[in-house]
Amino acid sequence: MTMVDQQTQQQISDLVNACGGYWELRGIPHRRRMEMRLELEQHLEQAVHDGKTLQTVVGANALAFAESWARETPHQFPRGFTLILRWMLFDWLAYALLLLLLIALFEHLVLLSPSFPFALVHLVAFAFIGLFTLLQAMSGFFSPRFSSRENRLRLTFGVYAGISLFVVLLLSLAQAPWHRVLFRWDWPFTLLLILGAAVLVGLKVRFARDARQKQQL
Amino acid sequence: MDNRSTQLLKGTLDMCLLALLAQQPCYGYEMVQQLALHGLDLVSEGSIYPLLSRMLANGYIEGYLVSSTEGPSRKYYRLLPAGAKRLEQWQAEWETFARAVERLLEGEHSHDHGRSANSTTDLRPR
Repeated sequence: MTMVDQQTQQQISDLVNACGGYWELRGIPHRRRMEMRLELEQHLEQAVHDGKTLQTVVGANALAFAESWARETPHQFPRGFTLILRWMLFDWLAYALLLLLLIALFEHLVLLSPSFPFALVHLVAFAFIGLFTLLQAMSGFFSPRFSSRENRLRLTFGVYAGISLFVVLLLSLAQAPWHRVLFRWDWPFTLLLILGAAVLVGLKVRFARDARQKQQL
Repeated sequence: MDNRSTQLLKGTLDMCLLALLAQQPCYGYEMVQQLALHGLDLVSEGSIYPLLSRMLANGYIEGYLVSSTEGPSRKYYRLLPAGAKRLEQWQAEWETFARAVERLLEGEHSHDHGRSANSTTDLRPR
């Protein structure tokens, strides 16, 4: 079988990764999931090689396809909660903490403020970061419709910007007190958070490496 | 394939897959190709996988990986005795169903002929 071009290979890879992530969320055991990924990848490659589109394989709605396969596969639901928890810790919280620490360090080191006020605007930023990481993880489902990865990312960013703008407008119309301080902390706590963020990022890198090794096996 | 054929295939796809596996072990794409050779084109080829998963869970078929020198292993499926038994049942059901539909269609056809031949008599007020 001849190789498919790089862009199509990227499309296939993104779609398989998105489906794999979804199946993990649905609690399908690792071994079975790897087999499903392998089958899907090989089917897509062979179909493309025979001149078919990705939509011929997964249909118009790739997410519905992933769900229909997951529904017929024995799975454990609690595993999905573990995954959500892992996503919250290692994607959402890790990125959100890094951003927050950047602002806190600016307050402490540049503005020489001994404490950091955590305001409503920071909480909203936390939520937006969570939304972005989630949308980014799901962007692979757009693969059958958008062949170029740049277009998929543009669409993801467009959806993200649209939702964010809508929420900001809504909150502004409701005259949300953006700068109301919810709580504040002193610089030693910032140092503790830096340590926590470093541990989270370290674990994230380690888990990603382990997952890559498992996939190669 | 038109929409009616698509719906008919959707309703009988599991039986068709079992029938293919009764002939020889196959992998997913191979099954799609075999179906196409028989004139059965799927709108969404991936729709075979949820069915294969269901039949695996029901113990009708089993999957096994065959290693390849050219690349990663490929997953093949083969029929199990429970699957062969189920296929027999489905085949019998299908034949009964198809015969009934055939009889109905033939009956309607001859009825139409009969009606046109005696149309004057049938339409006469009593």
